[in-house]
Amino acid sequence: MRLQSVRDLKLELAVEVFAPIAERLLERAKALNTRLGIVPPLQRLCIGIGKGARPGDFRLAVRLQSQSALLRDLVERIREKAGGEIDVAFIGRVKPLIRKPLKQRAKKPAEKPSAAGKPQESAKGVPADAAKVSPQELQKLHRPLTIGYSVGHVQTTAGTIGLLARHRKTGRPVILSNSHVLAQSGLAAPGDEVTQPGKLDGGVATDQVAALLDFVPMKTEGSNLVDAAIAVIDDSVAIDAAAIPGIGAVTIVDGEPILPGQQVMKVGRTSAFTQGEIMVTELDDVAVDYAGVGVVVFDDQIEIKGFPGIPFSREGDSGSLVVNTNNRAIGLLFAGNPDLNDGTGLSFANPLGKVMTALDLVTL
Amino acid sequence: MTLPTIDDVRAAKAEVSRLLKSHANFAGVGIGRKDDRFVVHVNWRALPEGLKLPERIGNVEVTHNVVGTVRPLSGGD
Repeated sequence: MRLQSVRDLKLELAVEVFAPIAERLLERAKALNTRLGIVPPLQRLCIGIGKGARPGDFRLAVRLQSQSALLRDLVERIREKAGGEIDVAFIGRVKPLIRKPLKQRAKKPAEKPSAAGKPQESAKGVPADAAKVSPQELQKLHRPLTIGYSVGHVQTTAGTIGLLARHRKTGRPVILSNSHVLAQSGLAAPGDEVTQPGKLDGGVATDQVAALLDFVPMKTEGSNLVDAAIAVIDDSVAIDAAAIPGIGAVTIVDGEPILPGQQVMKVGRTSAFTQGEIMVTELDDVAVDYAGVGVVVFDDQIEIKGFPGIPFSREGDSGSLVVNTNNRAIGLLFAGNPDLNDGTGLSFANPLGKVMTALDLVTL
Repeated sequence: MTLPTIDDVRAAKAEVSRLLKSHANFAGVGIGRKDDRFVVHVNWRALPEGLKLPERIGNVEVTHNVVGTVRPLSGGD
C-alpha cells in the first residue's frame, strides 16, 4: 500500500471501528452503573505504519498487548477493512526500560498547584525530569548547544532552539527554529549572526553560535506551510543533539500520525516544559500577524490546547519542538494566542515533516 | 446516524471553507474531535454577527471556536 493509503486507513479505523466500540463499552458501563475505563481494553492494541514487502511499500502494523476475545475480533475487523494487508504481532505488556533511583521508587509525587490554583492532574507520558527544567536555565548561555534553549537573530528577540539537524546539501549541522526567530521573518540576510541566548536574554555578538543559512520565504499572498529557518553552527561550538532537557531522547519518524486528541509536550525558552492536547489537524487558513511583514496565512497546521489548565506556549517559545507521548517529534511551534480559554491559550505548530522537507534537513 | 468517515470530514471541511472563507473574521478550518468522532473545526477571530453558521454538513458536525488574534511567539515582538 502507499504510505498515504495506510495513513488514511488508520484514520478510518479510528472513526469506523474504534469509536463505535468505545461507545458500546461506555453504554454497557452506564447500564451496569459501574465505573468502567473505556480505554484500557483498546489500549492493549496499537496500530502503526509498517514496512511492506518492497521499498516504498507500506502496510498497517497491528501490535497486541493482550489476546482477549475482544481484541481478536477487532483484529479481524481491521484485517477486513485493510483488505488483508496487515502485519499482526503479539508484543505483550510494554514497560519503560529505565530503573528509577531507589529514593524515587516509594516516593509519591507531591501535587503542585497549577497557575490556575488547581492541583495538576497526572497525565500519560510526563517525563520524570520535566519539573527540573526552568525558564531561567533555558534563557542562559548554555554550551553545548541544546534543544529548548534561547536563541535568536542578533538584532532582535528570542525564541527557542527547535532541533539540531544536518543540512543535506551542505552536510553541515544547523540550528532549526522559526524564520521569525532566526531570520526576522525573512527580512534578514544569509550570513547574519545568530546568538545563544537570544538578544532578549542578553545575547550579544560575542555569543554568536551560528550564521543564518536559509529560510522559507513568507508569502502575504496565497498560503504558506511553515515558518522555519536554519543557521549553520560554527565549527568551534559544541552541540548536544541527543536529547531535550526534561523530555529525553526524541526520534523523528516519517509517517508518525498526527491526530486530534493526542497528547503532546514541548520544552521552550519561556514556559519550559508544558503539555497539551492536539485539538485540530489539517488546519487551513490560519492567519498570523507578523510585525513588519503583515498577515501571513498558513495551511495544514496543528492546533494545540494547553493541559492541564496552563498555556502550552508563551511568547519566546517559538521554535519549540512538539513531541508526542512516544517521544516522537511531530511539529515546530510558531504561533498562538496565550490569552484564550481562561489562560489555557491556543498554540499552532507546523508539521515537522513539512519543515524538514522545505529546508532539506536530516537528523544528525 | 452513522459516524462520518475521514473522507466525509475532509469533504465537509472543503465545503465549509468554500462557504465561510471569504468572511473577514474567518480564521481557519480543520479536522477536530468531539466525543470520539471527527468534526469540522472552524476558527473565528470573533464570532460573526448576522451570519447563520452551519452546524452540520451532511452527517458531519461543524464546531465554531473563537481564537482572537494569532501572533508569532518570539519573545521580543
